[in-house]
Amino acid sequence: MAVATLREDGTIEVEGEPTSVDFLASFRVHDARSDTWVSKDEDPALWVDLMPEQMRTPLRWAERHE
Amino acid sequence: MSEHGPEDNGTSEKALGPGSDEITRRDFLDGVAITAAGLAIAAAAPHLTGAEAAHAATNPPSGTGLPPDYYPPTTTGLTGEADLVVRNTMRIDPPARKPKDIHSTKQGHGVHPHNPVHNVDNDYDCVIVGAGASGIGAAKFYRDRFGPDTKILLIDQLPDFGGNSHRNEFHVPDAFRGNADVMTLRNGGTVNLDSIGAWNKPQGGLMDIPGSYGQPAVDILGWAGVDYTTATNWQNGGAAGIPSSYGLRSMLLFPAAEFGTDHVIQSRTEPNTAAGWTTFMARTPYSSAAAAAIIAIQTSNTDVMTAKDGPMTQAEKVQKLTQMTYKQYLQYYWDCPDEAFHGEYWRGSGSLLGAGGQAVSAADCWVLGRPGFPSALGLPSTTDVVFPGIGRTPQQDSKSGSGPTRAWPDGNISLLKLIVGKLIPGSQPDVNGAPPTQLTILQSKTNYNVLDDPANNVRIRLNSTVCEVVPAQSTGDLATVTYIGTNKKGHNQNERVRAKHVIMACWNRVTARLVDGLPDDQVANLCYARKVPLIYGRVALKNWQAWADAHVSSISPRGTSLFWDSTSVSAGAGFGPTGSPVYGPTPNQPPASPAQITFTVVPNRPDAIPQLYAYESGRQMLFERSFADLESSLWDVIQRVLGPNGGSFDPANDVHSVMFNRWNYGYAHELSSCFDPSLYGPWVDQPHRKGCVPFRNIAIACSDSEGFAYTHSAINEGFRAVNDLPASSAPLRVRRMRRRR
Repeated sequence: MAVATLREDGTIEVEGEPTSVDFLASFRVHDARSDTWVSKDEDPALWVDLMPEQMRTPLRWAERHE
Repeated sequence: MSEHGPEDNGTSEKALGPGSDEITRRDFLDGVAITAAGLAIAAAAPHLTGAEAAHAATNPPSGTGLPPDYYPPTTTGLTGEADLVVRNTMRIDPPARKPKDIHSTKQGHGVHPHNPVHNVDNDYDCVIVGAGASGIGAAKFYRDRFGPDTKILLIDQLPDFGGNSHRNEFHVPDAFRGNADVMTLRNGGTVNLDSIGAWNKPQGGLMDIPGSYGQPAVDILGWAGVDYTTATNWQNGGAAGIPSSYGLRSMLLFPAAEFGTDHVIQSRTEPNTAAGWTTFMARTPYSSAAAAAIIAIQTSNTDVMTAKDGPMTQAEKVQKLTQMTYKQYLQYYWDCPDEAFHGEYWRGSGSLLGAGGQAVSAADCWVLGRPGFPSALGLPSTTDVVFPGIGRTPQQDSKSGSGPTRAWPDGNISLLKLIVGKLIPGSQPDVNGAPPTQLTILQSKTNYNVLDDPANNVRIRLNSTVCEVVPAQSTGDLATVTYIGTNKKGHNQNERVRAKHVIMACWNRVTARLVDGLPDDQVANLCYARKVPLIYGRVALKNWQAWADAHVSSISPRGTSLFWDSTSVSAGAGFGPTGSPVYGPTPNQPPASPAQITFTVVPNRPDAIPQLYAYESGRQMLFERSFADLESSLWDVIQRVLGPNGGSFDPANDVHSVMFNRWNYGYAHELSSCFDPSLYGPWVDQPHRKGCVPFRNIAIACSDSEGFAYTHSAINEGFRAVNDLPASSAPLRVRRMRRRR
């Protein structure tokens, strides 16, 4: 399990089990409005908004906390 | 070609919209330096490669749509999707700038002609957008349903029919035999008829696809005269390899960029035991931590899942595997460091699953036999295994009785040539006085000048990019299809045809952009999936002396810094019964004779996830590489391996010609248990199934619609699309035509 947190300074911190941290930190969300793939560093707020829905599987193994 | 171009009926319309081409043209087109005049001709005639455009600058076309000697299978340079095709596709399918640009029924995406549109041809019963396996299959099935006299036009932007099936044909003088011409073939795209025995078997699991869904692809083999049951007809298919007496070796290249200096070693020859792997690892530059992980993953029969997570049922283990990538599985359960993952396990999944191990499901890798899943895990047998989240390719591969798999030396284009030969008389000439068979089709040289002959009921129009499809507005009305064609002077011309029915047999994302008025949710579903980018490269060698001197047959890179996934040499090939093959040359070609280098890549960044983004990262890598970049990266790898082993490879003297079959839009996306939640629901609710529903008098085909990257699925989707079309009794309105001057 890994947890992504949007910090007050607008950046994202990912903590947790190293394998999941590695995965979560690399994950890009799809912004359908622009049809582009966005990393957590490129647009942290958008990434946090879209990640939970786009990472959904029957058993979630990464979660987002704010 | 006298009557092969589209006929202009004398009417034209104003431009549809402004449009713009934002792609900067390079001075080098497809790797060939050409003049300003050549560039002008290339712009006017998208079917021409850079080399052809350079030639045409001094030898203008004869005034017909296709040059008399037009023959794309021998095209060199960047084949597959040439630069102009990629440019046009990018114009159809670019990243949108504004939300409203995702799809607009008016003035939205798509290639909107700047110039007047010429209405051409009599009305058709059916226009099929895309002349690949799905479109060609649909043409056959359309005639089955609506009658053999129906008028059908297939339009394709590529220079050849076949879509992702493409024939690479080389003619190389054999210096060893008095410079006799040697023809060698290779598939430039689709490889084989894969797992034919599984085609009409129920898919089971959550997909719930009945066996009857796959029957059309089986049936069309019989209709085309293909007997897949008799093995002797398929003997000696593909490359023959090189006799062991030459002592060639498979080599590994550990590049200096990641390992300090280049390390070139022979692939593992030691036993597949812990001791054998330990000895092998000692020959590599891997760190001790990486080597230890690799030895464990390859040889340790340990239940690492239980050891890490405690007791689990078999079903719980399988479920866990569906939720993690292969990389995560190796990292989490085997403590596999990045060095070991990138060295040994990152590349191996690309050819079947379309992306590296960082972006594909661990469960799919288990079913496909990738390393790291020993018997001690207690997982179920992978034969006929079905579980929620299994990918379609692993499921197909796991089926008992899924064979046979059959291959022509030039891939599935041979099947499509047989089908086209039955649809368009004269397109596949007789061989030795008889119509071509599944064996002799290799020797039948397609007559491209009859493909678009108005005398035929079925026509194929190449080098034509469709830019708008407007469905019928009311019952009995006709659809219109507008495309950028090539007139008889070799210049681009915007043209429009009308039809009772239209079948979109092109990529689903392109269909979403082209069909006017599609509901927004259908557009979103059609746009969901992306295509896997890949290159199948082939080099025709005048000789393979350098490889013989170095005793090297293949090169596999380690790490992530080298571009090509694999490189190998083959000399000699054949097809047909041993003793009476229909195609040579025979095996055992000496080093002074012609040979081929085969090299492939399924590009993606090693940190790119999810899987759909991995495709996009790979496509970007292709966009960034010119012909010269691709070529130099290949020569570089070969010279770094052959040179230290005594082989003097000189491209200027050893290479006859190069074909990069670049498929920026290759495999259809197969849903992944890691990233596609809809995979866990009914098949009908998956985005590609919701996207391919018919719209008025337009039906949607393509293997994208099945989410399954195989020729047989493309054909089955063609069948389904034909049967999605509404029955129509409206008579065609035959217009009085005026011949183009």
